[in-house]
Amino acid sequence: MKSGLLLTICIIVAGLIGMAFQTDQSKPWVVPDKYLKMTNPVKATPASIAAGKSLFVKQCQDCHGKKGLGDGTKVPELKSTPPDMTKAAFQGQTDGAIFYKLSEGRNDMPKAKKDLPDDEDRWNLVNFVRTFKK
Amino acid sequence: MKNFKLLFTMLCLMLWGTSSAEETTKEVGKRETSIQLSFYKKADQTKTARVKVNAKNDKRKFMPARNAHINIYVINNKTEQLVATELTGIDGKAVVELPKNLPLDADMKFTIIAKIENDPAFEDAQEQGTYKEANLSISINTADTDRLVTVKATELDKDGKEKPIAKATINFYIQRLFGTMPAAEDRTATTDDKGEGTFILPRDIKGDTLGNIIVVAKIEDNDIYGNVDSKVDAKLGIALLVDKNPFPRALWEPRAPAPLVITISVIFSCVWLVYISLFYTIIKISRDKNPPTPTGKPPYELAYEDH
Repeated sequence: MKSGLLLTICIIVAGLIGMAFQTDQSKPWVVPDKYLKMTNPVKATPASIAAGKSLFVKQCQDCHGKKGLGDGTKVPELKSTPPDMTKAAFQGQTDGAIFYKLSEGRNDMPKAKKDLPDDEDRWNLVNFVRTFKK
Repeated sequence: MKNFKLLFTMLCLMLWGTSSAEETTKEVGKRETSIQLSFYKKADQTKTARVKVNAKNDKRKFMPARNAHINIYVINNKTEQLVATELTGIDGKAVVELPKNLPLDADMKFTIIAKIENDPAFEDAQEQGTYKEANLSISINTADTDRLVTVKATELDKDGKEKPIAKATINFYIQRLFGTMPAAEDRTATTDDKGEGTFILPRDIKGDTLGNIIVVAKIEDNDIYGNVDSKVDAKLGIALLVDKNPFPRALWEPRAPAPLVITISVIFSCVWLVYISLFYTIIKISRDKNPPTPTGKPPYELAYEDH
């Protein structure tokens, strides 16, 4: 009886320690179908990209870095790891998925639609982050 | 005993599990690196290249990279010429002073390259920047009641003549002890076709005791010109009034109130008297080879009696 209780306590403690040492394995970010299939209504013109760049510098660069590598100045303060926007894993997403993620935010990533309520601004951002593709 | 063994085994297993989980996330060999390069031209005409290096840690997160070897090159006649080598500091940054006369290409541009090469801890990385040299001149007409600050931005054309820079964004700041402070909430001016931009200095800026301030104009993070700044002194701040009697009726005043002096003195004297008496007693005990006991017998005899 006593050893059974001890075993249970050990398993609970092991679980707690395991949780404490858990590395940053981000859970998959589920994008609703509506956004996955959404087409970008703003064409990636130089004006749109320039507008997106200006917004990116103000709103995103501190964490995502100048080139979207995830090496911004605020990264050491973050709990999560910003993605590398140059990689296929990021660029392989649809415009709608990127639009949804930056609009809604998650964990350290703030909701862009709070500061940028105009959809067009956020689509401009999508057009700009596409320029990071290598 | 059996329970103890079981607990010990479980703890060992847990420790092994967590340590091996950490080991698997560690990267063997060189760390993936990112490098950022910026060009600065200060008001005293010194030119510097500022490099920021980040490297991925075991959690695949970019963190400042300390002690990364940075080589700075300039392009001279289409060949790379090494001008400086520097190590990054604890914040992953390195500042390298550049030669005053940088080699220019046919478009009057110069190219700087920052490289991490054959570093034992970091992967090779490089960043290149091509810039044009800009000059900023700032002036204030102190007689002007509008407190208008005028800044002129110019660059050199192919003939070596100064040419105005149009549509450049210039930000205005006030120099403070540890850096610059934005001169106003809306501190930006855009240059016109003559390369001139204006800014009205607010009236509520605090200066030194004479009202002197230093106004700084900056071109910041510009794709073509990098970072350029210029400064000017002006007597347009609010003079700082030094309060000659900031703490009236305080103990450290030349004429502190007597009850305060007496109270504090008594408190401190009591504390020091306790220390002195303790010290005196300790010395007295240490000097006394046969300290008295309650029975009047030496302590070693008492010890024998116990047995």
